[in-house]
Amino acid sequence: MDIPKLDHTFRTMLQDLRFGTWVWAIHTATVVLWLINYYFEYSFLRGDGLAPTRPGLLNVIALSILNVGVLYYLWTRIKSSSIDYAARIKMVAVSSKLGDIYSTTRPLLLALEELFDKTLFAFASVCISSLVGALGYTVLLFGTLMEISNLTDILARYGGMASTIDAFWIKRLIFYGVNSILLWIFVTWSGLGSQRFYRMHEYRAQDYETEILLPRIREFAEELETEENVQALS
Amino acid sequence: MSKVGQLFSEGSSEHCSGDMTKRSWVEKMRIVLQAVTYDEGEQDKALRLWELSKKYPDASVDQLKKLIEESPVMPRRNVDDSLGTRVFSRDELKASTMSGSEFKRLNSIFQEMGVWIEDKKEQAIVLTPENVQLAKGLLDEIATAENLRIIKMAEKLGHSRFSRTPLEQKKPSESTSSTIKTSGGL
Repeated sequence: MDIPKLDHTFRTMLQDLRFGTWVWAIHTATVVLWLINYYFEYSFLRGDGLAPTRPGLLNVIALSILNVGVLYYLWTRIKSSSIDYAARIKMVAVSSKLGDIYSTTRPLLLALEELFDKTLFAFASVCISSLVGALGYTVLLFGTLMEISNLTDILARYGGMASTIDAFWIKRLIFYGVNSILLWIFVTWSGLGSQRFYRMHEYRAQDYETEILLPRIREFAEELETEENVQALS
Repeated sequence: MSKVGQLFSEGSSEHCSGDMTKRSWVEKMRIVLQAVTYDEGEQDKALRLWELSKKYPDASVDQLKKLIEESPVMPRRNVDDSLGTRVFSRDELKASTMSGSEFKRLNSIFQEMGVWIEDKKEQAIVLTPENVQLAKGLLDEIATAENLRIIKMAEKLGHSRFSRTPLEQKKPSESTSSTIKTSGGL
């Protein structure tokens, strides 16, 4: 009996996940910096009646927590499946007979199908939630650009605070700009992940049995299905 | 059913209750075949090995072998091979995972194909050594097909280094460059 080589599959899945995790880690770090910055700005400007608004603060935090949770879930699932696979290989090394028996008890195929289903669901969730975030940051970015284009009037009114107001909007321009890019990268990454696992899911939904099974097993299965259909109709 | 619909369903036409009914017939056949080809001693070692490899993930192969010898035996089911035949009750094979009508269909097909014999007087399923060999052969064929499916799934993910489709290049029983040769299927 042969064992499919899956080391590369697991390694690539973990590398993919590492990329997404880095993108999200940078995003989270910028959010933390922005929150610190917001605290100082609020303390400084409140006295002048210019306290800054908090655009979607709770949404930003909820999105971060949600995606960190899903990424962590994905990481643990893939990692544990990778360990599971390595343990199977080791089991075969200890005794091929044991590996054979264990495989019939807990088939690798079923373990992988479960993993891929959960991965598809996690990627799709991350993609949808991040899409909302990416759109939000993009709207904020364009809003900031419009505010900056209208700064002349404001600077004329608050002449003594020109440098503070400039810095206020430039920081937002950078924050929204960087996070728009990061979020769209993240959406693309998770979207491609979803698409890849959905393609595999489509393959699974096909009648693979007629494609792969040996004639003897196929005849058994077809006969059982035929009887089942006949009984269902009657 | 649409492709989107398939994503949210089991993709099965079955509508009976129970876990078993959610599986394809090939999976049901595999589970029953596994039950009748059961090797208590080896199965127990396999399960102990699995538990130990989880507990000591960095243990070497030799260390694991030693740990298995030292760990307590956990017998799951006794199979008496002393008479050269294996006898199972219908309920034992059906267990709680298959409906009565499903098992009736499976029983009928397996008898017809010579996988086992039914002793109607004793209400038992009997397997001679030849029957057991046939069942093991079928189990191997299913495992080979499952391995090929795993390779195809890896290819679909684009996470595969396989340069060819196994089914196009070889018959299931032959070895492939995309697999590790052993005597045990995973």
